[in-house]
This record gives sequence, C-alpha cells and structure tokens, in this order.
Amino acid sequence: MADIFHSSQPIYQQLAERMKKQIIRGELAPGDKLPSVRETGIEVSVNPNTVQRTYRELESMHIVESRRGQGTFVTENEEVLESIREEMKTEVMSTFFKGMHEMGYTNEEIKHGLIEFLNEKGEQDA
Amino acid sequence: MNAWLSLTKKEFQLGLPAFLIVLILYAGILSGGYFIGNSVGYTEGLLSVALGFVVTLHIFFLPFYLYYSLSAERKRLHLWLHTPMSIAGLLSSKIVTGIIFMITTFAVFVIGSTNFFLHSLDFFNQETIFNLIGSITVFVFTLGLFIAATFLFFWSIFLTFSQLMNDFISFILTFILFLFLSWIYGTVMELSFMQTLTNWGSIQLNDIIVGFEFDYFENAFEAQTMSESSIFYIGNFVRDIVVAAIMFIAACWIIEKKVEV
Amino acid sequence: MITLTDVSKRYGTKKALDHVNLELTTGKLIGLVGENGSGKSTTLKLIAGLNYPTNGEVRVDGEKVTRRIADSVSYLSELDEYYRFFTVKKSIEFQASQFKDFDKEKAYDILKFMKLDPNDKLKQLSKGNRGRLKIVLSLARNVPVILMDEPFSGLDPMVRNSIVKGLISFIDLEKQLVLITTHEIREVENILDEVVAIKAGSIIGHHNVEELREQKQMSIVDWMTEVYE
Repeated sequence: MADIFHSSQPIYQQLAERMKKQIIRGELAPGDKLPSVRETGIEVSVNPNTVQRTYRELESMHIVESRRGQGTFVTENEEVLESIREEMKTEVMSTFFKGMHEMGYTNEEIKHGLIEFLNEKGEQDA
Repeated sequence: MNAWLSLTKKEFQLGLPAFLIVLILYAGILSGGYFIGNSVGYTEGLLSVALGFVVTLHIFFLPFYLYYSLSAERKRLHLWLHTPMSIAGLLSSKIVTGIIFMITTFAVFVIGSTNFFLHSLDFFNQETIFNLIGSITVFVFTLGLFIAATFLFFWSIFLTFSQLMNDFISFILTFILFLFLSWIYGTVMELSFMQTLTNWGSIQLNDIIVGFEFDYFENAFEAQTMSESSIFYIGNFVRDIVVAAIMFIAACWIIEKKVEV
Repeated sequence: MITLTDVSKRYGTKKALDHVNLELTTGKLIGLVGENGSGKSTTLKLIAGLNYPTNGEVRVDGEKVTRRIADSVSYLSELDEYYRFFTVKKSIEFQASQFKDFDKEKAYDILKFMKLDPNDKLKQLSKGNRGRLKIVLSLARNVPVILMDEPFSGLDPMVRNSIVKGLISFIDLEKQLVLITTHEIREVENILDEVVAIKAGSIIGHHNVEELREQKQMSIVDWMTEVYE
C-alpha cells in the first residue's frame, strides 16, 4: 500500500503521473468523471489534501477540468490528450537513452538492440 | 437525553457490583443473627440486634460505594475526565446513584424492622417507633453523606499525591493529613464560640420517646436527667451538612485543577 | 488551530516537555513522531486539557485550554480501557449523550466501514476491534480538533490499514485538525500533511511532508533517521 509511491518525489506528482497513465491507456476515457478526491484518497491511501493538489495539477495541465458542483472530468480535447501522450513518450525515451549513453552505447547499437528486443518481445507476447 | 441522566444510567451499571456485595453482606448478617439466635433460643433478640447493625452499616454504604466506583474510574480517568461536564456533575451522578441504592435497602430494612418491632415488642408505642425511625433515618443519611464527603475530599488529595508518588506513600501522606485536619477540626469545634454557634435546636429523649413511663426508674432525679438530657442538636446537623458541602466543593476544585490523567 | 507557547511540563523532577513552541493549523492531518518517552503523549494531554503545563500556555482556537476544552477537542487515549459492561451500540449512545457534537449517523457509518457488530459486548471484543471502536467514537464527533494517541499501537496490519482508510474517509479536512502520535511512521507516511518530530521533550523539526519530498527528496522515515541521529 505504502509501496506504490517512492520517497524522492512529492506524492501529488507521483499520483498525477499515475493518473496521466490511466488516461493515456484509456482506463479513464475522455469526458469520464474522476472519482471524488476522497474516493481516490481511500483507493490509494493518500491524504485527500494531496489528492486535491494532484487534481489541481492535472487541471493546470488542462488534462482534466472541474465543473462547478459536478466534479472533475477528463478533458475531451483530443489535442491535449495527444500532446500528453507524446510528452510522456518523449520523457520515458529520453530517460532510456540517457541511461544507454551513460553506459557508452552508440545510437546505432541502441537502434539495433531495440529492434532485436522488440522482435523477441513481440514473439513472446504473440 | 440529558447528558447527566445518561451519565447516571452508566453509574448504575458501574456501581451495581458494589451494591450486590453489600446486599450479600447484609443478608449474611441477618441470617447469621437468625441462626445464632435460633440455636441459643433467643431469635427475636439477636435478630433485632442484627437488624440494628445492618441499619447502622448503611452509614458506611455511600463511602464504600464511592470508593468502589471511583477506583473503577481511576483506571480510566482519560475517559471519565474527558467531558465538558463539571466535576460536580460527575461526582453528583455517583452520589445520587449511591443514595438511590442506599434508599432501596434502607427502606426495606426500616419497613421490615418497624413491622418486627410493632409485632414482637410492646415496649414502645407506635408514635415512639415512628419518631425513632425518623431520627435514625436523618442520622444515618446525614452521617453517611458527611463521611462520603470526607472520603471524596481525601480521595481527591490522594489522587493528587499519587501523581508524584506511589500509592502507598500517597496513602500514608493522605492519612496523616486526615489525622491532622481531624484534630484541627475537633479543636475548633470544641471552642465555646463554635459551641454557641452550633448547639441549638436540642432534641431530647422524651421528644422522641413518647408515653414512656420514666418513673420506671427508682430514683426520680435519674429519670428527670435521662429524659431531659439532649441527645442531639439540630444545629450540629446543619453544621455537618455545611462542612460536608464545603468538602464536596473542595474535592471538585482539586479534581478539576490538580488531577491529571 | 492549536498553539503551544513556551510550554514546559514537569512531573515531579522529571522533565517531559521543555520550552515547546508549536503552531498547528486547521485542515491538516499532522503526525507527531518520536521515540517512547519523548513527550508525544504529554503534548496531546496538554492540548486535551487532561494535563496542565508547568510553564507556558496552550490554546485551542484562541481559548486557553482547561479540562472543559473537551467541548471542542476529541481525545483518543493510547490506553485500552473502557466501560466493559457496555455493548458497542451502548458505547455509541453513551458517547452521543455526553457530547453535543457527536454525529450518530456518522458513527454508524464508520462502524459499518470498520465491520463492527453493534450488539457485541465490549468485554468480548478482540483487541483489534476495540482499537476500531475507539476510532469510531473519536471520529464521529464534528469537532474542530481530534487527537489520537498511538491509534495503531499493538494492532495487526489489517486493522491498521482499516484505520488509515477510516481516517481518510471520515475526517472533514475543511473544518478539522487531526493530530496523531505514532511510531508506525510507514503506516501514516502517505496520509500526513505535516510531520512534527519530538525528542527528549523538544521539538526538533516541523515540516510539510510534500515539501520534504520536493526539497530534500526525503520520506518521513528518511528525514526522521536524519534528524534523530
């Protein structure tokens, strides 16, 4: 329960990342209503004040919008969702490449490695 | 429902075992009197002694009851004291339940012994018996309340001590304080000034025992003295009630201000 | 809001708190952490008006604390002592009769959430269920300040978890301030807004938990290990 968050980053940010992924995966579809602050708090065992801050954070990124008296909803603006998707992809890839570069792999090696990895992985999944 | 009434309901449950213990004790004394009386062939005499003893024991019921109930609370002071209610409210709830328990047994014994005396002894007339019972009731309850207030006062002091010292030393200190304050109290009451202040409203033996032939005594002077000597003063009762009230207020103050959880 | 101004507390010659200054604001879940005997319980009792400071002043919402502060403070003791002749239901009814702000409906909601049977006798309850009942009784008051002394102590992980969830579900963080003492820091790590560390009667740190992570990349456990060295 306490393990889903690590200690080096504020929980509200980690929770925001978590919810962004849920949105990208489509677990939360455009126009869906988010659970209430308290419900989310209970689900992940986090202080409602922190959840509130996560929602504000997501709202400032226009990923969700709160409608007065109704709750918070996932945006229906596909452009925003697409850019978030791109942004998160770039983020994960840059971390990956940074790690690989630190170990001295060339771009060529990384590319080949990636293709090989995907081929194997793809066969396994299939 | 009113907070105090609910509290009092709780007190009945909390104090019930104390009442049952006392009931068993009373029953033991009475049956003891009956059986011993039976075996020595003097049932009525010993039974009336036992009855008198049980009625007298009522004086100590209230302090015993409070001791039992407060010992139970002492283990959970954080519950008992964590309330917006005044200490007077908390204590009075215990006192009231104690008095109600006391009245139930007292009434049973008084009615029982009245019948007993009316039927088995023709020594006194009916009015005398009622007068006697009235005086005994006033006497038992006033003295009971006085001892109860004394107990509460010293219990609050004991509790204050026990926060800094262990129970044994706290008890010794409280007891020394008790002896010391009793001595001062006794000395003050002996003062002729206090005597004048409190010795009023004398009740004499022949105010209570009516129609009794005092010339039964051989010596007329002796009979005269016997019937005119004051057996108690109403002023003394008033004094005791006032002192009891002061001790109660002091106990409330000490628990409110000095007792910590 | 709770303020302690230059508060010291001695028991006889033993110093429990030493010149403590503390300000806690409404709308937060605050953890008071520290080792045994560091002054956690004393701090809570002082705020509840069940102890009086030897020196200094304790105020709740501006009012100087006496025992009667029980009107606006709900205090849960670490002790496992009750009126054992009560049933769960009777305990709730009794509590409701003693505190004007006790919300019976809320109490039964929490009771259901904690899976307690209202007809059980207190003397037959398991330790875990007694721990849960204490939570029910103290959370069901609509009161500005809730104090909980070691609510997790001696309880198994299942019970601790249900208490954590119960806290999140039933505290009204718009109007209430909750102060919890515990040494099970991991348990409350994610539900605290602020953490106050106390050692040998002195406050050695007071932080917003998220800021701790943001600025020092530390969890409460990391931070405690650092300040307690």
